[in-house]
Amino acid sequence: MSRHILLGCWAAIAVAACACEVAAVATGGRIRRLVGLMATLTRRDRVLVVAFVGWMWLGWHFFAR
Amino acid sequence: MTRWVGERPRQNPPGDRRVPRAPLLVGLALAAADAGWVATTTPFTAGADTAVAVGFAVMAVLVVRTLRRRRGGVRPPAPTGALWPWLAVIGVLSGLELVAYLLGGSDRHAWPTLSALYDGASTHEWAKGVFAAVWLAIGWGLFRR
Repeated sequence: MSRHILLGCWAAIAVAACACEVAAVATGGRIRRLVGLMATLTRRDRVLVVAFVGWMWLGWHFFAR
Repeated sequence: MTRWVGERPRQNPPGDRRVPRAPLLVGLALAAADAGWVATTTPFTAGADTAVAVGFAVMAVLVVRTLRRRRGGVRPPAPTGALWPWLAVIGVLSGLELVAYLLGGSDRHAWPTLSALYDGASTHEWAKGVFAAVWLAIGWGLFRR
C-alpha cells in the first residue's frame, strides 16, 4: 500500500517539475527556468565548487558504486 | 587579426551564454556517447569508474573555465523570475526522500527512495543511459557559465 502511495507521490513530483519548466517557458520568464535555478544556486564560487563535488558524488553513487 | 566581412566572432560577448551550433552538436554527441558507455558498464568495475571519470573530467574543465571567467570579471546577468515553485518541488522531494528513507528501514520495496527507484530501473540499459544523460545535463546546466 505504502509503495503505491509513494510511487504516486514520486510521479506527482516529476509532473510538478515538468509543469514548472513548461510554466516558465509559457509565462515568458515570470517563473525561473530550471537552468536559471541552477545559475542562481551557483553564482558564488564556493557554491559552484560544492555543487561540483555533490554532482560527482551523485554520479559515483549511482553509476560506479 | 583580420576579420572577414560576415565572419562571426569566435567568442560570444560577455554574458551571452548561447553556444555556437557546431560545438554544441559535438558536445551533445560526446555526452550521448558517454551516457551510452556508462549504461553498458557494471558498478564496481574499472569500466564503470572510467566512464564516470570521463564525465568528471569534462565538467572539471567547465568549472575551471567558469571560475577563470569570473575572476576575469565576466559574469552573466542574474536570472530573473519566481523561484518559489522550484523551491516547493525541491522541498517536497527532499521531504519525501527523507520519509521514505526513515520509515522504510530495510524494506525498500514498500518504501522506495529515489535510489531504490533507480536500482529497479537501471536493470534496463536504456533507462540507465537516460539517467546518465540526465546526470550529464545537470552538470552542464550547473557548471557552464
